[in-house]
Amino acid sequence: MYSQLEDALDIQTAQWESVHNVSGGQRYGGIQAYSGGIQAYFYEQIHQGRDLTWPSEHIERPWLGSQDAHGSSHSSFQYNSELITESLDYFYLRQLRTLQQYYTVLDSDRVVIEFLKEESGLYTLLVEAVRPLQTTFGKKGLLHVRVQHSDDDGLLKVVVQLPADFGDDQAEQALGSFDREWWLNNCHRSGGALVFDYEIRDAV
Amino acid sequence: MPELVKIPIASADYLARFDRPYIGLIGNERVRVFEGILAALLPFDFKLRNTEIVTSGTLADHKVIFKLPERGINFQFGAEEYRFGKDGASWSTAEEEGKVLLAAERALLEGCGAKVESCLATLAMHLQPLTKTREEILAPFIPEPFKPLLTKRQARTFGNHLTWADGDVLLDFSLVLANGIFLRLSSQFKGQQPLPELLAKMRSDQEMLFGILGVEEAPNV
Repeated sequence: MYSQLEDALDIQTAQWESVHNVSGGQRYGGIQAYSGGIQAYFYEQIHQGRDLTWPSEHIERPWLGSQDAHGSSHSSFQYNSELITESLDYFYLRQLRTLQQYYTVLDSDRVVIEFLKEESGLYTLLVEAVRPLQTTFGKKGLLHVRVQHSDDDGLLKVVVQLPADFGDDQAEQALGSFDREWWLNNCHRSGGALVFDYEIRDAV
Repeated sequence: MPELVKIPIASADYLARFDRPYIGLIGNERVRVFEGILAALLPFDFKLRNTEIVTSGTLADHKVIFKLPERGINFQFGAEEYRFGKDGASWSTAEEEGKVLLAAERALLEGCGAKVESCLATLAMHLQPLTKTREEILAPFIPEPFKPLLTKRQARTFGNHLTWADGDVLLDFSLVLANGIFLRLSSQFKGQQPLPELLAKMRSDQEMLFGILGVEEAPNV
């Protein structure tokens, strides 16, 4: 699991850099002085089993723009209910932003964050699913995620959007392989709230 | 038919530069200006804990920062310029958020004698196409002389950066979103620009670029 999270953190670091560089910073020139430090900080937090919290209000947070968009009060010495709620929202927003590095999330942030709060095991499962999905379907498939609600509860549906030249048989085989190689060993962790499927683009 | 895109991450930035440094803003007038801006932001649920005074570095680095974290807004001023930033920018809330800028700006400029020489408005956004790949959308932007090369060597990322006399546009792969496109556009204006005109210009620039890209924002579900 750590390697998956470390992958995510690699991207978080790139993301942090991208905010500073605005995008493609290595090509357009930007500030990368903190990246190693931030990454090392997160690695240490993960390996020591701690919750991930942003290390300092003075270090800009990725994916939120060039300023500290969630306030200056995340110090562990300043607990009150408002701050805890704010930190929790920030925690789930960060999970969503990490997922968006792999998936196209079709619902609004609010809908997905509410779902991640209800089904707290799904985030890790979704991050871990990326590699097996790419191994079986290839990297050209876009990964769509949508929350589907029924009368009683909801589920998260991941649909691999495959290019038109991907045949039906090939897609079925890939899904079967994904099931055998990874999903059947992990589906018990989803609480029945996650399904995987595929669609072939331009298929009528 | 335009490709529908989601815009999960967007920000807006407005930077106004003075005609010369006004040292009073970081010196003996700072407290008065601070109190003026604080009073102007109180109706927007501003809290004192969301302020920061930076006094390190050179005088050009000194500044006062006001934040409205629930709105993703910050306003800061120094001796040479003031800046308004908005994370999670959206046209649906632009006018409402603009009221914060106007209130803070009025309080800052009142009585300090500072004159705005120019201002720069910037929109930055990460687009996520719903059906096409970003390579398909950005393919027309690859310069013709490079296209034969791409048949021999696979491009990892590509984009464009065009600078005008009064602004620029940057197109690139997003490093933040799967299959994402990063778009940043900015426009520079002489003097202070009325907010409605500034917003109209930026919106029309964005629509023009979306048209060129062949994309349209998908409704937020």
